[in-house]
Amino acid sequence: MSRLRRAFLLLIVLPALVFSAGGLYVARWSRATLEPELGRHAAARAVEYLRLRREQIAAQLRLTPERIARRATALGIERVAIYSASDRLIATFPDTTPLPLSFAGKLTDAMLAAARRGQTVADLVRLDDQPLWLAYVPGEGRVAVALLRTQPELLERFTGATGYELALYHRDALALASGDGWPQRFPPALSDSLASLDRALSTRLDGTQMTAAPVKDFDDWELTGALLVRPIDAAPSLPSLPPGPLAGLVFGAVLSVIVLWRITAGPIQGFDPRRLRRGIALALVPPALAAAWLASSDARSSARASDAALELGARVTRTIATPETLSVERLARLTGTAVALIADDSLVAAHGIELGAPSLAELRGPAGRVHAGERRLAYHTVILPGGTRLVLLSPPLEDSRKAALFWLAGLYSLFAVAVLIFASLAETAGSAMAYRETITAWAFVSPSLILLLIFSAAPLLFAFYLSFHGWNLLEPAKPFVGLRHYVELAGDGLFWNAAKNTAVYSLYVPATMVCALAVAILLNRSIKGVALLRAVFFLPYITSFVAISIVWQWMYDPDFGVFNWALGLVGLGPFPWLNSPSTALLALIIMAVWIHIGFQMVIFLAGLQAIPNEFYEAAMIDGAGPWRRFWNITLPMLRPTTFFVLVTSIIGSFQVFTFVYVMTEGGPLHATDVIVYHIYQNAWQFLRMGYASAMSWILFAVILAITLLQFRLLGRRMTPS
Amino acid sequence: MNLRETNRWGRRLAEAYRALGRQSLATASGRRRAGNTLTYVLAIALGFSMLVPFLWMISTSLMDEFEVFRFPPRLVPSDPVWSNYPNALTAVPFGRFFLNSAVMSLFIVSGHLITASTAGYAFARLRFPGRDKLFILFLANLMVPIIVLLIPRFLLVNALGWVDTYVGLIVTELVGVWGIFLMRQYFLSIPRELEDAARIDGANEWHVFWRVALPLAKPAIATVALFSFVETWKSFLWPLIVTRSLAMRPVEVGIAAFHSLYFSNWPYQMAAAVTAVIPILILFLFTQRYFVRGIQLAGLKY
Repeated sequence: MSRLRRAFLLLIVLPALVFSAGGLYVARWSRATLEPELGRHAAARAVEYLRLRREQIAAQLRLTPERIARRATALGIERVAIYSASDRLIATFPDTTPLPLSFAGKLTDAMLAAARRGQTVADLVRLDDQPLWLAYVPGEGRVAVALLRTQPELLERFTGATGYELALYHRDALALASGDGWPQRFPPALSDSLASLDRALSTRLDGTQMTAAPVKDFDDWELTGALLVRPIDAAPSLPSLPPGPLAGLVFGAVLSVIVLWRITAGPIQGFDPRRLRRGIALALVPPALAAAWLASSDARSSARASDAALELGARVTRTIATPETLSVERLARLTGTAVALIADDSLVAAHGIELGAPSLAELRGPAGRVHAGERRLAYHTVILPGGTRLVLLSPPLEDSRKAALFWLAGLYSLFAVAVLIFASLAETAGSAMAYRETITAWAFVSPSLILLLIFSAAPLLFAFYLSFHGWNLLEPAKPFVGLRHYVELAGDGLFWNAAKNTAVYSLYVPATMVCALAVAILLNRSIKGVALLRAVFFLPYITSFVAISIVWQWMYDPDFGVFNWALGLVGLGPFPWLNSPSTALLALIIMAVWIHIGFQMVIFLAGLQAIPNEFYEAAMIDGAGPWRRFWNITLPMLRPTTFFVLVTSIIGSFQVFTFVYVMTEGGPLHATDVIVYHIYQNAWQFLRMGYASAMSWILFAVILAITLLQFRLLGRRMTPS
Repeated sequence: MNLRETNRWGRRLAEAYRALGRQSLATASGRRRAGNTLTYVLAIALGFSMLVPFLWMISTSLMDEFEVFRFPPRLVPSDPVWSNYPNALTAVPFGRFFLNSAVMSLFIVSGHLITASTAGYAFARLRFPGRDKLFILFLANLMVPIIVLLIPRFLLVNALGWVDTYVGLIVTELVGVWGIFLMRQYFLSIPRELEDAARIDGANEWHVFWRVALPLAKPAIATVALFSFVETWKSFLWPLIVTRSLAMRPVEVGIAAFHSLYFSNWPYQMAAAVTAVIPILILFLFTQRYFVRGIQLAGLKY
């Protein structure tokens, strides 16, 4: 096997396989993370659904026996017995049947006592090896006990409304289930884990992902049974590719592999590496498009799933919500969404959301997306009798699934690195020596390259992406807000204040440069101990900035600080220093001069020592004094150094953070709130990471402009005349 | 920015570096001796004023809590309270802070050394297609203010579950573009005849790098190591963001936390500050020359 062929297998085919596997995994992974969430919603809905049905029935049981008899069948009541307060049987339904069912056997004293206290309770009981509901309802001086048929049609209605199949288990009875393939009896292992749990649990039974919700007894104490919920289409499938594009993609991939395989067989006459590189780049386009498509289709399918969930919620609500039983909180709990009730275009009640007038105006139509503050929500509308609109709102799931896109992008960029390496190997394949050198070079460079891609290049682009999104760490929804952040920045007084403070702070740079140049000239001679003196000047720059900040804060103390004492000796002050908005920034600037003097001095020293001594000697022969020598030789010769120090220090000064964080926290009254501190606060204290990213990109743009300007001017002034 | 300019800068810096390496300072000559006394007086006076904050830090760290609030202040504590040190250092887990900083520095310095020497060597010595474009891309990293990267890096590290762990502290910092640049410039400034000779003798590329080129670059390696150590030890913003518990804070963030906890107890704070300054100070005393040389090359960074 030729070495290029080996490189081809290793760098292109292997990453391509890994890459496709990664793509499939990401797609599957996001489906798999989606499923339990929806399952839990469905289970919670099922529990709430059954409870509401029971209460509807219970409300009917408060009626007279005749009314009960009339409506029992429709309500799914199988048998009713009504007892007086003194335990005497008053009536039964259906009264034609003799009374084989011994309610008494099913009722414990505790249950009856609860019913007599006025509690409406219902329990899951076992009858004829089937789980059935038993409800006992207090009436006026009597207790009605009803055995409810857990009708199959109830289960079917649930399935029709939610897309989930439902099975009801009594602890030791067979299931009552819609659909086939449920376990015969309630799995004991599950009953143990459910007994200690209040909420639904997603689990895997017989190879199917399903959700189990506990059913407790009337005083919410013991586990009497469970609800199992599973999606109708049990196995989450991958987003399917239409056969046409799929065939094209496979064909293209196979073709490019074959072609490249042939090319890499050995040295080819008239081989043009540049053309090969272009060919590889082109061959990369289909997989790239496929990856993007796969990822976006996954995001779309998540979006559809969230829409579906909302729509199901709306359908359940439609079957349950009648104006007289309507409670917004209730519905919110039932559907797991935020709920708003709107009549005549004005908000009547809402739960889990605050809707302003602009958001209300957006809530037209049966379904769609709406902005509420910084959040973007999906909504579905149910029109109730009387024209009142009931709106369910929830964060669209696709926002939290966009992560998949970034995983793919990451994988893809690694693949791109592999291609880059391969292309440059292909270019040097002609000579064994050059080939070996290229391999070595890439082996040396790629660790740094990959780390930089992951931790610098990708974050830079991601920050740009972030700046167009509302991004709060705690909120699952990350809505796209367009240019809103940038528009907001333009009118944000605090941002401009921070920009102004940063600009003022950077005035320390010229001040320091004058001092540093003076010190550099002073120390630019070989006298004893000069190294030690230079070290002393340099010391502040290398020590802990936090420690320095603490010391200076202490020295700036207006009452006991050493500065005010020393100035007091010559009749100045006292100054409030860090405690007053008018002097705080100045105090920081003075400290910055002290810190940076040594650093700039060292660079000036290097500049001074690069000036040939002959210039000075010639000037002295011409009779030039020290001042003229400085003015006519030193300064012009130092121009590149000066310029370099100026620009880099200003760029550095734009990024000051530690001093502000430790000494002033941006205060007093935002007087020392510099730009990086402002970004930090927005991102990690106010959790507005999107907004903070927009600011950081503006800072980046400014620094980029200065740097490019520097290179431009530097190119011209590089060599002193 | 283009490579020609970069190279010119590199050459210039390398010249400066060598000029400094020659300890014979060209500017020294007899005629200046007359001004030496004046120079001494001026330089010592200025130098002393530079040291005032450090001296004041030490002095305050030895005062008791009443003496510190005396006005006019006493410059030297009347009765040094040495117990301030053990008391301050046990008030928060300082040992742990130092351990965290040490672990962080160890890994980051190693990372910098490995990436800087390999990549720097490749960019300076090995020919491969696309090298110069790639190098420009590497250098472009220096233009990016770190704050832009911090939010996405934090989200990434958070998504991977590495917040408040050593991995989170270390992983983003493993490559230093500055180190790569410095190593490249250094490799360019040393003659390549030795390497070519080794190649002719049949040494493989790794051998040439490891046995021939790297030993010649020892001064540059020392500079990179020193600078990445100091930079890591002093790094503040990223450790502040990526650690949450006191037990994971490095020294710099730790004393900042201490500062806000013991806000009015200046002697304790100064004791903590002195302790934080000492390791770097000791290092600096022994390696002062490398620092001065290094800063002239590393100057581009700030």
